[in-house]
Amino acid sequence: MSVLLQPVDGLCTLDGGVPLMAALQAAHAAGSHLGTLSPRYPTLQAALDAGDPLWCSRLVRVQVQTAHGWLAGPLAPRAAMGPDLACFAVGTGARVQAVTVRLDPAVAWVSQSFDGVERALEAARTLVTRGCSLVELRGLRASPTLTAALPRQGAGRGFTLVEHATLRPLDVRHTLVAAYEDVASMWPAHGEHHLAALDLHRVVLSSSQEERPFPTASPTPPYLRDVFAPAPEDSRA
Amino acid sequence: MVLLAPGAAIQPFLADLAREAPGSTVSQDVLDRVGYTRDATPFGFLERRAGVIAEGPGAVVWPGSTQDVVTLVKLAGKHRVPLYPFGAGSGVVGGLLPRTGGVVVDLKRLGQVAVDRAARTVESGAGVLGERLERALNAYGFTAGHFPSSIYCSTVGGWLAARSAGQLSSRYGKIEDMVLALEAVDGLGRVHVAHRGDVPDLLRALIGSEGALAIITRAWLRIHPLQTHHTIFGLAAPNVTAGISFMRQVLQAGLRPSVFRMYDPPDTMLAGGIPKASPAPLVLPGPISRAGHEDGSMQGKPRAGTAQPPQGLFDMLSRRATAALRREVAGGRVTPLLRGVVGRALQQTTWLEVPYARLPPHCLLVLGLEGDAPDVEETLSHALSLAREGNIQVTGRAPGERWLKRRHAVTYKMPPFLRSGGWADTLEVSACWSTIEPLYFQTRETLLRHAVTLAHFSHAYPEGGSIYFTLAGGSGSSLDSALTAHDAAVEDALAVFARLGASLSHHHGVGRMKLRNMKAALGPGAHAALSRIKVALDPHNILNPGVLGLGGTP
Repeated sequence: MSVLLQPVDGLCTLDGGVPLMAALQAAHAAGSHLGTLSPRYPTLQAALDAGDPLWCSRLVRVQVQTAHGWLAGPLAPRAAMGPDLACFAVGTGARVQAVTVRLDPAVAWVSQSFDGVERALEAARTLVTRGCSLVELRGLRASPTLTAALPRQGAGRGFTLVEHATLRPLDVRHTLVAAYEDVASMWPAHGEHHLAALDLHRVVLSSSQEERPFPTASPTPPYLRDVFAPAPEDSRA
Repeated sequence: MVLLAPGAAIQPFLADLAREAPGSTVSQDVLDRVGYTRDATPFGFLERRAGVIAEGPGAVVWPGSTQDVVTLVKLAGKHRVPLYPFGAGSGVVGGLLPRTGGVVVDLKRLGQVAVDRAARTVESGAGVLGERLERALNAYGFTAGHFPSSIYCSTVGGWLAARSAGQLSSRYGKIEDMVLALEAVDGLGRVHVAHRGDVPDLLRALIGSEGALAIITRAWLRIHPLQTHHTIFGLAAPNVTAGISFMRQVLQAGLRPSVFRMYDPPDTMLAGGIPKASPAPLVLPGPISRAGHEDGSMQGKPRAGTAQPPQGLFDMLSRRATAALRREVAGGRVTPLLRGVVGRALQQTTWLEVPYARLPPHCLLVLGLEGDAPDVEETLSHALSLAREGNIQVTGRAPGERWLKRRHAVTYKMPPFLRSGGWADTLEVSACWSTIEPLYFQTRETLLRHAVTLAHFSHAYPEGGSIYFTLAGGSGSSLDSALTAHDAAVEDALAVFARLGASLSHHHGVGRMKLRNMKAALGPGAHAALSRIKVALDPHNILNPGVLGLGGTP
């Protein structure tokens, strides 16, 4: 099990079975981040099996083992080499061997509380516009706290800068990808929830609650379900 | 070019189509069939000029709705008629090579555009031309942020099928970053609406599928408010290495320039060298995409009777050749003697290694930033700070303004050069930052054995970027000799790409030009998986058979 940080390329390569908290800690200690302060799942294999939107959004290259051999895309950004088969295989049960995800610098941090989710969302979007790739909200709908990693000091102008942010566990039981505009109506009035910005348009809303507070995703069509059948020797098959 | 007659088996299919999908327009006119015989692959032009006997589509169909496409596909499956999806034909890797027994499906009638201002999305038919989409969005105060140099001759569906990249990609991303969902009709006539983040993510399988898995009929794309301010200016790097390092640092500092390009020393020289200092960068009102628009027209649009300003290799070569041609050629016909002279002059390129090595090592960069005024001020300040640290000099506004004026002209430059007796092509590749420098030097050294070679670096991302190589050689007296030289150059370059772990392509796609290299590049299990997806989505093998190495003869 290994975590390989490649700061020159802005990448981190890890085994599917490596504990995600260890990967986050390694990145954090190097002044970088992997897009979240919470591992969300015990391992990347578990996160990808669940199709976790946050981890899926940071994939650069996935090497998976299927019944028909391994497959992987090139370790090159935005390659135009047909369908992205390896990333398509995520969530099909294929065994993940190695995954390369984006690793971004964190030269400083922002932490700030808001008196409502609407204003917090506006602030989150502003920070994403300025190039921040870790922007999270956590807490109650009426009083969420924003935490963001800054790729340069100037990106945090107008916000409260702090030197460090703390990694925290988060037991993700339910997730939903939503547009910024839709979050205010979806964020439940009760209980603590978690939001991570994916990009300028979308966020992922997560909950640790037992009951499902968000709609579910559509199931995989049956004619595609078997394309990436796990290899027979895979104990999880 | 001589076109073979349509296959006889196509007539029952067309009769059924007329009965069951009266909304579809059909043509078997020879001019239509010739027009849809090739995409914009450079050797397509040379084949036409050489009078090659070619297959072409048996017919061209223009469906008017997704339902028309469903009917078309079901009937094609029943009659086993191959279908070749078509956007606007700007592809350059041989993605379109229809057979006489097949039908080209031109999707331009799928032309609806609906803007959702609150959600910042646009629903677009697959056949919407890039320019039309951008104009429609501008009317609402938005932009798609997608400006391929082919924006006047490419469509939303084509962008998705081939993984298009635009000139402002460092800020807005490639088309795969922009799409939120798409609708596509598979080879059994089933309609899929694939959303970003579905598990499994069918969107990732359909984007880049080059028409082999489904016909894309509609897409939902992100859009962005037009920015209020911008700046664009030139810089000079002391050499390629320093320039690459500067580009990497800018992107990894979270800056997202709209325009970020660097020209290698030969390309810098052909662009006129490093300019003398011009006025310093200014933060100006308006977005880069609309900079200089006073009459509402798109920047750089070629207009009838208006010569495009010369730029780069094609211009230098074709300007001289064209001047000679004008003197010697009557009625637009090129004399074999003159073509032979121009072609042979470029056949041997090994002598170029000496002057290349003696070129000044400086590289011209163009950097453009946009946002609201404080954002542009802050990012400009940070970029200039990084430039100072990297010994990168600011050369002023002139290079940026010149690039803005000529940004769409290159798409229209190749045919005049080909007419003058040369062959030319482009190769684009992406790699991580740690690979970019050896990739550039090793590929350039390899290509110089076969062709005149230039390169620019564009489409920069936090984890790496793209290099765009332009190669030109002489066709000598025959198409075959040009093809031989071209194929050798491409094959050797792709071997370098593979050796260094770079991609086969960044935004042109695979088509039929890079088929041989695809299996090795993706790994032993990939082709099996791709074939299984093909069987799942297109069991009758009627969708663009042969492309991506799927379903028959390339």
